[in-house]
Amino acid sequence: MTKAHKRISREELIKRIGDSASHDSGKVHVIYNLDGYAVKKEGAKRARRIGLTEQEAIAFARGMKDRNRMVIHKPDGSMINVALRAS
Amino acid sequence: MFVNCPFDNEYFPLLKALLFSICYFDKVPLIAETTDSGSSRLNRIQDLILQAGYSIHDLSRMEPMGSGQLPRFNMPFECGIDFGVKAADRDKFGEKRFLILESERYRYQKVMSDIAGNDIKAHGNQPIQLIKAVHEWFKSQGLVATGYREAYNQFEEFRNDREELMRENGYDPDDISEVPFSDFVLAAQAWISASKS
Repeated sequence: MTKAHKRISREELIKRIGDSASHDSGKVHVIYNLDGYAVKKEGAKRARRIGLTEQEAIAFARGMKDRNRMVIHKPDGSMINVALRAS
Repeated sequence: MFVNCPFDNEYFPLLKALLFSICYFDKVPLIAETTDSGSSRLNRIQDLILQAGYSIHDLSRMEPMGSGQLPRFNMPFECGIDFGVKAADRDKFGEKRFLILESERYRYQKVMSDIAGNDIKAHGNQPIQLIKAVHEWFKSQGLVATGYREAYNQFEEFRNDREELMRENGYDPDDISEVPFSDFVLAAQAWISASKS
């Protein structure tokens, strides 16, 4: 799957990764922490909520009206993408 | 900050967390590329050790990776060089500071007890525990003000951005040999700089 995409230069890849930090694509991150889950809006330095159960965190993220995609960061390192609503 | 750790796909999730956290806490990771040949790689490692005021040595893979395999000694060997440099010239290198990382607490006492008395922390093979360990050590050295949670949550957002962009643009983000470590560091530095501005 990866190889099907046209490969850009390494320099361009670094630039795009750097630029992605200042671009809000509408994501909200639900991130496993050691004391529960945190909910963090894309681009924010700090989490909006911490210490939630996974279900509480997902419910809170779903309630954020300006977000169109949720990324759940699981304890095993996997990331699950969930569409929330049309952007 | 010299980084001495395993270089394989199994360790890659921890390496990404280690390199990102060093960048996030405003230090520059010094790491030898694995593409260098044996002798030039050792020379490069010695140069990096001489440059670095701080070092992180991850000794969590001092064990056979499977039945019939031998343990890997590169990490304790390089750790020994670093300790030797400090001991050989206290005037010049006496201020060097080391963090030793392990997978389990106190395992080092069974395999390398001579390092007792140094800063030794366990990461449990989890990126979040590793960032917490690095953060605690940085804090003990007076090097950071922010908390580990902020650093870890930023790391996870960076990891998501990086992996999506690599997949969209023909790269495998899980293959450690896909791009040089220097590229990972440059991308992390650019991302952190933009996120803090």
